[in-house]
Formats: sequence, structure tokens, C-alpha cells
Amino acid sequence: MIGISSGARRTPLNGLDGRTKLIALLTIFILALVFSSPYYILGLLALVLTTWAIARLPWKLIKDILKFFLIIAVIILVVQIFFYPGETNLFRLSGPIGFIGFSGYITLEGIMFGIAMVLRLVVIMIVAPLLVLTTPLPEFMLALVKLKVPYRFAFIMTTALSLLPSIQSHSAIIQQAQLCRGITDFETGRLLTKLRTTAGLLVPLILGTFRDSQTLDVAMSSRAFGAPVKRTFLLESHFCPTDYIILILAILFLLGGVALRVLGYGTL
Amino acid sequence: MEPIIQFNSVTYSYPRTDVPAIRDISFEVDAGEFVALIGPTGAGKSTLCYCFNGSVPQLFSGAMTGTVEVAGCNTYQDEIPVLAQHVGLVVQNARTQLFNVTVLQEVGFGCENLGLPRNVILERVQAALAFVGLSGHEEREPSALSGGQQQRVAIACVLAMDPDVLVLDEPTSELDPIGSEQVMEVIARMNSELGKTIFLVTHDMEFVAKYATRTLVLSDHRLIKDGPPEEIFSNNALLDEARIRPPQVCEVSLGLRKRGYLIPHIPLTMNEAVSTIKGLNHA
Ligand SMILES: Nc1ncnc2c1ncn2[C@@H]1O[C@H](COP(=O)(O)OP(=O)(O)O)[C@@H](O)[C@H]1O
Ligand SMILES: [Mg+2]
Repeated sequence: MIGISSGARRTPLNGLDGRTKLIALLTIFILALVFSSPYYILGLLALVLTTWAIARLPWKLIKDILKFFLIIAVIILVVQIFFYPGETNLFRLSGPIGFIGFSGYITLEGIMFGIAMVLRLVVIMIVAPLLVLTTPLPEFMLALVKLKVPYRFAFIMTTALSLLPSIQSHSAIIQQAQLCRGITDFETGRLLTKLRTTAGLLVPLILGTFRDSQTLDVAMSSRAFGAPVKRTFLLESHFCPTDYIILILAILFLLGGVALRVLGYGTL
Repeated sequence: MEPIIQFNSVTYSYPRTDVPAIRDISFEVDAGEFVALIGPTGAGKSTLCYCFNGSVPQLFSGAMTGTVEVAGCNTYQDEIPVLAQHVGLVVQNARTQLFNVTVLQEVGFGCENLGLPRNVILERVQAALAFVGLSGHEEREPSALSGGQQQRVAIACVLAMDPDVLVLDEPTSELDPIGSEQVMEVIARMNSELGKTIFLVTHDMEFVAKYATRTLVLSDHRLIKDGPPEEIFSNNALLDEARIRPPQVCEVSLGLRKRGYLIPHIPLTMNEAVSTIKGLNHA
């Protein structure tokens, strides 16, 4: 589990304003979606990994994320290789299979596009922790509010994020409780039993989370959450020179990327 | 003077339930009183607490009849943020009440929402933390505090908004004796030093005997008794009906009375009990 923690770790990226990080993240997201050439996306990946190194985040986390998405990546790769309407035939696999739209040939474009799609997924997956792990939730919330996201929405979003670890620990406790009652086939057992056990795990989890969120609602309203006045923020944030540099770079990258794309670069 | 709290025949059922969680509740509380609400689990104590600031019926939908007025506000008409400035609610499980990253932000949260000026908020937070004995803990993470400290932070959170009435739902039920004592001492001082009206739900009869000036007994969703603690703790039938175990000093005196000793007033505190029993020996 990615450690979305309220007290995010201290890293060189912590000094940046939440808005800067959010905008840089969105830029990389957009560029990853704009380009479809594996070389360009590889460039983005290099940028993200460099930032990862600067932030001194653990490399093991990347490994874990990649492991988690391995199967999805393989599926994407295979699907693109088979179905991308490429022109440069590399070799013939079978006769044309009309009803699934497969020409029978593996094409260069298919392989390239498959790789691009997988790289795109990787970039998107590993860029998120760069923000999440270097930005304490209140700073993240403040950034959203300063970017004109309504406070209520920003608060609910960040609170949901902060509840993730507690949901996780709930599920561990419930699993323990089920184990104590002799329900042991979480890991082993046939599919049907597995499904039944999982349902038995989910019901108390969802009920518990629901009750929690209802008392949370009461607790928040009792402290004037949603009062129809302009809210004060104790937390303050200011742009420092590095923020401005990064923001300018992000805007240049974004404009440059879109311009390249319009001129026909960065695609297959 | 107008009572600060007025419940008029309040009946409320949660959505999708047939049985009302509280039934025909009527009582009044004057400013400055220290009222304890006692009764078995499931009687409807927490539900009653939710009525004070409009959480019932505004957040929990469901069917409510009757009216609740607190500090001149009406819980149907006035919105919860408005009510929150007059009545502070500390919910049953204080941990769900703490969702900020530092104690400072936690305690400042209510005043931030009210849009108070920054320096006013900081002053109020300092004062509230000092009052509950947690000065210097501003940068701590609430979830890393002890249970008793968390409970006191939760109290500071509503205290910082400076309400006239404080409603506290079982604030000591999960605490060790020392933690409980500290929390109860804070609650008592809010009443005696700050003049706040206290409405306290608790299972700790020793505390009720020691601090409350008045006790309400809720059993089976109804208010079955309203009177001073000594009246309740000397009423055996009532204690049985509401499944309440009185403080041990009362139990001893009740036991002695059963055996034929003449005890006109059931003592509430250890000192009173000692002199009562000493009096018996002399007789
Ligand atoms: N959110 C809810 N939805 C439906 N029923 C509830 C809810 N909360 C409490 N109840 C029911 O209302 C009754 C009173 O509960 P509660 O006020 O929590 O009692 P107490 O605090 O005295 O233990 C109980 O029967 C309980 O099951
Ligand atoms: Mg309760």
C-alpha cells in the first residue's frame, strides 16, 4: 500500500508550494496523454525518475507499483500488438481473423504503440506518489483551495485520502476477527468460498466505514464546517523562487509539448 | 430568566426504523447547571445529544416531532454551523472527531470555519489548550496522543468556539482512571470557572455523584427520572429499571439501610459516607 500519510516524509520537494507540485503533476499527466510516441514518453519517464531521485523517495516503491500493474501492462501490450492498425508488417502470425479485426500480421507500429501505452501508464502511476508523499494533506488541501477548488470538495477529498490507512487497518482487524472465528480460507480455498469470505470481510468494513463517516459528518458540522462565511486558513503558503522556476518550466513544457504535437511530432 | 435548553415532547426515529430512538422527551435546563444523563446502552443517549445542535434531524434524516431550543436557537430552523457557536458537541468516540494533522489545526478548525481573524483564532487555541492542560502540544499529531489527551483535545476544539452549552457524550468511557479523572476535572472547571452549562452523558456514577447538580435517567428511549443525584441513587426500583449501579458509597449505605439501620440521607461522597457510618456507631 502506498503510504498516504498525514505526516508526509520530509524531502527536498516538501519546501515547494502545493500548487506548484499539483500543476507540475498535471503537466506531466497531460503530456503523457498528448504524446503517443514511446521516445517522447520515455523522455517524460526520465524526467519523473530524476525528480524521484531528487526527492529521495524509496526505489522499492516503484518496484512495488510496477509489480502491481504488471498483469495490466501485459494485457495492454498484447491487445495493442494485435489490434493496432499498423502498416509495417514484421511477421505473419496466422491468417486474417476477420471477426476480431486481426490482420494476421504483427506490425512495428503495433509494438511501438503497445510500448507507448505501457510507458504512459507507468509515468502516470509513479508521478502521483511524487505529490502525495511529499505534501502533507493540509498543504494539499490548501493548494486545491487556492486553485479555486471549493473548500468543501477539497476537504472531503483530502479527508477521504487520510481515511485510506484507517480503512486498511480496519480490514486487517476484521480479517483477524474472521480468522479467530475459524474462517481461514482467505488465501487458500476454492473461488466460491473465497468470494463468500471476501463478502464477509467487506460487509462489516463498509458498515463500519459508513458509521464512521456519519459520525465524522456530525463531528465536522459541530465545528461549523460549511459555515456560510469566508473561511480563515491558519496554514499559510507562499511561492518561493524555485516555485516560480518550476511553474515557468511547466508552462513552457506544456506549451512546447502541445505545439510539437500540433506540428505532428510525438506521435507514431 | 429563560431556560438555556428546552426540549418539548421530542420524539425521533432514525430512517428505516420503526421504533423511535427517543420518545416524548421534555426537560429544561437553566444556564450554569451541570446535568448528567445516565442510562443503559441503546437507551438513546447519543441520539439525544445529536438533538442539541441540530445534527438530528438535519444530518440524520428520519422523523422528528417536538421542538428543541438551545440558547435562543431552534434546531429545525438554524443551521448547524450557527448552532455550533452556542452549543459544543463532543461526540461519543473522540477519535473520529480528530481529523487534522496537528493539535493546533485541530483546535483551530472550528474558528477557521467561522472565519475569525487569524490572531483571534491563535489566541483562542492557546487559551483552550491551556485550559485543558495541553499547552505545548500544538505541533503534536492528535492520533499520536494518549486517549485522555485526545479527549481533552476534543474538548478544547469545541471550547475554542466559545459556546454557552457543552454536550459531552461518554467522554471517559474508554479511558483509564487517571485519564478519566483529568477529563472530568476539565469538565467540572468549565462549569465552575467559565460558567458553561454542562450536559454530560456518562456511565461513571462516582463522577455523577461528585459533580452533577441534576441527573436525568433515560431508559428504553424514555426519560424516566429527573432529579438530584442523591434522589436517584437512593431509589432502588429506579436503579434496577435503568440497570444503573450506584456509586459504591451509596451501595454500602443502601445495604445498611436494608438491614434496618436508620439512614435518612444516602451519602454521595466518601466523606459524607464516613460521617454517616460514624454516626451509626454512636447511635
Ligand atoms: N445511525 C443509526 N441508524 C439507525 N439506528 C440507530 C442509529 N444510531 C443509533 N441507532 C439506534 O437508536 C437507539 C439508540 O441509540 P443510541 O442513541 O446510540 O443509544 P446510547 O447512546 O444510549 O447507547 C439504538 O436502538 C440504536 O440501535
Ligand atoms: Mg451512545
